Amino acid sequence: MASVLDTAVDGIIIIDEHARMMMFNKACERMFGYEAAEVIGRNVSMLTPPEHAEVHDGYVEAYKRTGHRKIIGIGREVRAKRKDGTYFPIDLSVGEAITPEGRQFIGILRDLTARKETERRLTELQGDLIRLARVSALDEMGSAIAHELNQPLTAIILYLQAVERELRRAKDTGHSEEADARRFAIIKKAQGEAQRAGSIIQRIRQLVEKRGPERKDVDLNHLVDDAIELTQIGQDRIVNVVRDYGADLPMLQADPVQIQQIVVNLVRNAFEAVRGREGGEIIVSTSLDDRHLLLSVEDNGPGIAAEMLDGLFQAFKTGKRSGMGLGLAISRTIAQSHGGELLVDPGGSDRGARFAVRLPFLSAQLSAESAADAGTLKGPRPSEPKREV
Amino acid sequence: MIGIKASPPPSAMRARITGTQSVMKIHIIEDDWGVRDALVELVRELGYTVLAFGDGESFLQADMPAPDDLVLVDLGLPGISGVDVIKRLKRLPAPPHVVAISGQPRAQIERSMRDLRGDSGVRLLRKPLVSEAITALL
Repeated sequence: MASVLDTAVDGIIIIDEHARMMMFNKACERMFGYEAAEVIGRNVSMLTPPEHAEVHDGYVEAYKRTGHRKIIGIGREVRAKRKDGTYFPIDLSVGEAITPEGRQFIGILRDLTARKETERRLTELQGDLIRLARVSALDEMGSAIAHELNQPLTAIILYLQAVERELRRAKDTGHSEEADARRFAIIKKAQGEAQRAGSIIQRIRQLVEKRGPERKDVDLNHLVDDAIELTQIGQDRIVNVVRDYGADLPMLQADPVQIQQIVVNLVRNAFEAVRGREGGEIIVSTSLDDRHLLLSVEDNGPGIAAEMLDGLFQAFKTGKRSGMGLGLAISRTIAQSHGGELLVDPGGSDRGARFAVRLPFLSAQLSAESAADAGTLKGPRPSEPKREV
Repeated sequence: MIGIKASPPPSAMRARITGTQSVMKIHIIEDDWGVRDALVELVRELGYTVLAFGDGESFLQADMPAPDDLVLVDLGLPGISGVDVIKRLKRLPAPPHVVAISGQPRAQIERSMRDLRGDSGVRLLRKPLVSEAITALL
């Protein structure tokens, strides 16, 4: 029997009803770094981190007393402790056997270290890709941004040269209070333009800087407003951008830069859709349903052709002349990583397209609840992939 | 003469302008407040009468410039485009001197200016502008 269990890829531990280990197979030896001889007869709590070690005896006792299953037949992701004191994640499922020697529990352990590492890498890669798309979007906006910076720079140069001329003339004619006041006023205006250039750069830098994904409480309306300002840079100013924001929206738990990235993508697409059309209009609205914050971007362009619809959210499929075709694919990824969704109403026949982002605003409370559920092991397993990017 | 290069104005034009400096007016059509205001400050400092407009519509509603006047038009105006304003000016019996200004990328400027082929005397200044480029026109 023991030699059969030793061939198993998964770790197998058998304990008696006093939580003493009776069997510790080869896979376990590799995982934990203990020889079987070192652990047989000892309490299984030596393999668990303190938070479990204390409760483990309790689990067994409670189960024996109440028959209430917290882990048996269910399986869950827990941490385990190696001989050298380090911890690693395992997937643990426990079965029960009634034997002539009494009740026994069989634990099957799968080492999750590699899978966790893969998950972490994937998360990191996704973060990089999202950032890459952001940089690529800015790259496409490059000349518009240059133009936008040109305006305050032009103003600054001309203001300073006007003052310079005035002062040169003052050398001959002398200062008058009135002329000096005018010069100061011009210098003040030059400062204002310099600040305007600075704030453009600040807004752009926010989007380009390499930074890890984060979650914080954000005000959606404020975020959306900022992103629209950025998107309008260099766009056709005849297009009317209507902002219809819901009042008193709750705070959103989100990565602010990623949410802005969605807005920039959707609003840029909308500008594209109404380009060259008389009376072009883009409506950006925010609102609330019972569980979600909704953000919608609607244009009065031609709508999306049926044949474009299939590949709409796929990367590198683009109907545009420029760009990598990442915008919508990335936007959907971001929405999903926030536990939400990006949906499209393609419109057509005199109706423009409408994109809607639904983001759960209760996410903080909800995940607290599901964590509480996990404590009693009634709810979803804690190893359920939580979407966190 | 349509060119992207800011070459000096033809000597004939300069002679004419300096000869009538006292009555010459400068019209500025620029939607960016900062640029417009700075141009006004500079040109006023040089001693000229300035009329400034935030868009092509209000410029076209005002009195048309005299033949000796100078009109600075931003190409990227909201509403009526800078190119359309220039076309309207060029259709006047005695058109004023026109200088286009733009901070747009070269390719876009060339697209806009292509529309003007056949019209002579429109020159272009790219942003950022410096006062020397403006004074060279006067």
